[in-house]
Amino acid sequence: MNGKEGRLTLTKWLGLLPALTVLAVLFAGALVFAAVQSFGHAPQYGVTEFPTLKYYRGVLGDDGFWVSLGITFYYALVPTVLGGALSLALALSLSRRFRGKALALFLYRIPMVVPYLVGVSLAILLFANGGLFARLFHALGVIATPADFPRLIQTSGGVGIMMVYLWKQVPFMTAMLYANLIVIGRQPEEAATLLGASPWQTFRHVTLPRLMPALVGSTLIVFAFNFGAFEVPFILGAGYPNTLTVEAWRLFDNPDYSQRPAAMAIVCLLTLISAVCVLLYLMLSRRFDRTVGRAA
Amino acid sequence: MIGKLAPWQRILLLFFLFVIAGPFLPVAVASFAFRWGWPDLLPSIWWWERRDAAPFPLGWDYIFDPVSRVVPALGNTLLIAGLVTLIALALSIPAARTLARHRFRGRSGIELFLTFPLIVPEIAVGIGMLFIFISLGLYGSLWAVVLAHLVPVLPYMIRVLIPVYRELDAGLLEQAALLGAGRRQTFFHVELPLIAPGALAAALFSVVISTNIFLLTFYMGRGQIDTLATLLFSKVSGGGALDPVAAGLTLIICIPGFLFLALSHRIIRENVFSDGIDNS
Repeated sequence: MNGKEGRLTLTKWLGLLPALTVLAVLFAGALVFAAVQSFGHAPQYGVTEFPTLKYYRGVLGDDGFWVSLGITFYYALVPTVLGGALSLALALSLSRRFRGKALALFLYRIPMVVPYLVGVSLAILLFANGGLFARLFHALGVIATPADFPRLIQTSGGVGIMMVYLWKQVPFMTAMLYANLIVIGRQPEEAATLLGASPWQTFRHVTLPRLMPALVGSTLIVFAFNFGAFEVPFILGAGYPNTLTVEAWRLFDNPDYSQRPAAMAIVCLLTLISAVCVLLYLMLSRRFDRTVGRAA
Repeated sequence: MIGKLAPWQRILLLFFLFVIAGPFLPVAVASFAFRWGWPDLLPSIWWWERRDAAPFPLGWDYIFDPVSRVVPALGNTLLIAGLVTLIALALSIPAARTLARHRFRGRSGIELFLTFPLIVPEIAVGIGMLFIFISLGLYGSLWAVVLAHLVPVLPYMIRVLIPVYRELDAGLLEQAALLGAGRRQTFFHVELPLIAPGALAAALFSVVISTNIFLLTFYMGRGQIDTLATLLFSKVSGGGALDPVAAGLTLIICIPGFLFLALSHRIIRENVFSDGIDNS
């Protein structure tokens, strides 16, 4: 019954049509508008130079863009890699049998369902220079004044930003990996153990290859999200340099509306770079799959 | 043996759970503080020690005061989330049904298209979308916010509902038809009750997503439509310490998510044994 082959009749298309229309108009339409404006067609803002590459040239010729791009990659990549490794360890632990498992399964999902802004609040409370960690170090006699505490938020170092990402995203990646572990079941691992494989060998040659698709999928989503995230770097990052999203927000927010096409150019480049990264990653992981498949 | 937790795993799990849930405790404390300055690890004055000055905890008093606009923002948040969820359900159910039941040319293309909104930066969609709403004359209205929220919500909801339809026993629908039920009757009396648990989970998820969106709300609402997310944003983007009001707002905005967890946990727990007891 599932998956009848064949052409889609009109009545069936009617089911898809409303949702696809909404997304085509609002999502695809929005991207088209952004692209058109980045090429100089924004009469609302008094810009009618279509087609021009002026704004792209301006953006790409600015050193600030490249610094921001580096920062964007840095904030996006580090938590993705760290979080992926951490999630793998956590998902494997969660899949074991232990007391209090129901509670653990309930608690670890909390960050997934609250906004990033909640993570921002927690980061301010804990990592600000007058925050709880600074006070703890004061109580221990390590520092004397708030100024002695290293700056973790509102700097371009990004510790606070990446902490929020990890707090929100490790549970998400863990959940995706854990769901996969449950589906796979224990039999292949048990078989490997019975055949004399060490725990490490079992992990490396049995568990990890089977988790690879879920690991690739979840890190992909997390990376793409971090690459285009706004609130967290805006609040917890430095005034300058900051991510490309924050730069785009500033240009768009400028009282001089003729700056807006430059903001559009930035978000178009951001989307393009993000898409290229996602595609490259998918291609690499496919290739890795094939080589591993051949070796095994 | 394989199923048991190694000692390092136990420590890792405990640390992980502590890091996740632990920070909520000081937030709750902050919302009840009267004075909590450097370098005190706990508030030096709790609100109940100053009941003469503040009959109600300061943060919460302000939150429920008309000046703070939190109560109307809560109303807006719920109204927007409710409208988004209703529209998204109406659009997603037929879409998911078609995608789950029929294999046709272009299906994988459509499924790919449905993942794009998860990957494209929100700000790119947001500032591009402004023009659509300006030309529709909706810019700054509640409807603009609702329609904008559909972009991240619809792909998620369709993805959640496809497996629901895959697991639906189509035989039951055929039996209903054989027994002489009309299309409408079959849909409302057989199909809808069968997908109801899945649709409920999808609806709750949609409420959570909608509640959490800041950027699209801010842009489409022209900064004029307050929701909990926009209020919390302006509260914490000032920097500095977390005051009792910000702490209270932080807790309130978590409520939909906590409700979702509590409810979905119940649904999930019933299903846990259906995959066999040996899986855990």
